[in-house]
Amino acid sequence: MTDAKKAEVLQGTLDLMILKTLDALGPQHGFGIARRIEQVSRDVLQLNEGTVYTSLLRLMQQGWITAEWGISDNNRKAKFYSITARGKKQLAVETENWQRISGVVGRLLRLEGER
Amino acid sequence: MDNVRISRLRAFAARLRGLFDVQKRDNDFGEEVKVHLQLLVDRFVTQGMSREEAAEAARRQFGNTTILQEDRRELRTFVSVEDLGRDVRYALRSLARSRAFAAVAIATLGLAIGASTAIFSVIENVLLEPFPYKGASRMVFLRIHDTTRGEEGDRQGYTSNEFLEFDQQNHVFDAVIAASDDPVLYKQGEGVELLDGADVTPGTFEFFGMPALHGRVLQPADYQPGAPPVFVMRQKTWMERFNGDPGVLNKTFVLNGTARTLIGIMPPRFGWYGADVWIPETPIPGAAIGGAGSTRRWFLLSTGAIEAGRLQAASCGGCDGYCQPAGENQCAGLSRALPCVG
Repeated sequence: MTDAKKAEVLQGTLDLMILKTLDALGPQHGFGIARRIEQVSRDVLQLNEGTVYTSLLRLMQQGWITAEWGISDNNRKAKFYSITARGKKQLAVETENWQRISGVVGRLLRLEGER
Repeated sequence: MDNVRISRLRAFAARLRGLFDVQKRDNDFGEEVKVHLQLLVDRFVTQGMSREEAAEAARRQFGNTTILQEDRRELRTFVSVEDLGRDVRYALRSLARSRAFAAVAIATLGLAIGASTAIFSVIENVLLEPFPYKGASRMVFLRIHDTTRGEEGDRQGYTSNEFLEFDQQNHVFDAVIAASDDPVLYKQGEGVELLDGADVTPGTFEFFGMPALHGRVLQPADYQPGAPPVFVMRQKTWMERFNGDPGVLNKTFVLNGTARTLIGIMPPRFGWYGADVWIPETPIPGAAIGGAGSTRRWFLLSTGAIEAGRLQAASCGGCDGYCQPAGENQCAGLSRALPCVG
């Protein structure tokens, strides 16, 4: 699959994906998060991995995640991010929102298709 | 709706924090990027790329770090005045939307600022800048009240006889002084000016225990019959009328027709009786006429050997001696306190 066919990640959805990743996998560094998204998206999504850090900063500012310096698996110093209680609540809210909106959009598109 | 507002407020708070320790965070981020790129390179190398290809691919996959830095800075601080302006407008709109919250917030701020100011003024006056007089907290004005009459109120002005009796018979207070109005006309060049003068009883300056700024204060000798007429001036008056000229000290002024020598100028905060000038005057028994031909009334200031809280009761007991000879059921109390009972 060439880059042109990959979908750009919508801003905001990346935040949600990261929250979900941290919720599912526990504390991760930026590289780990990028790998996880890559793995789950099965190369459908085009991700500039640097934007993960912008997203992480945004999440930190909201108090939904925290960061701590630690040592990665291969003995490198890395910043580990983990989800906070507030973040978990937000994740629940956002997940519900996402499902509602994607459900609506999906239904709408199906209706349009039937005509 | 509320969630959006809260999250924008949080971002705003984070930006405020972001104004500080920018350097450290930039360094942190640089470190993170470096590690991330290395990990990507390692990965590509294990997939079979050369190190150069891998480095290039890693950079591509990671994206433009300069733009990222900018994005972060934008998130973290108020990049421009427009951004700040937008945030402030947003804050104002939010406040306008929730009137009750805004009212409570503004009232809280107002009360808090007011309270802090009030507390500070009290602290400044009581702790930092108490009155410059010796034992200022123990000084009281004496008021007299006739307990046989049901009327409210009291009086603070004493005749010369009352003052003398009180002074002689007092065994409650350490010292009693008094002052009496003495409007002063003095000739300056062509014109005549009016000053707020006060006749002060012997011991007044010892009572306050403050030395003069220039020259000297009144001494017992100045009250002796036949002593050369002298007076002391307030610093404010000296500044306003004489531009703080030290040359006026020891000059003679004609005050109400008497040639008096200015012997001292008091420090800035000394302002007993609110007077411009202080003139020594020994109360004479039976003298009913005071300065400028007015009825003589002395205003008494005392300093107690007892704490202020107990002063009312103690002075009640103590002033019996004064009340009885006068043939009146009058009793001196603390100026701020209620009249004595019994």
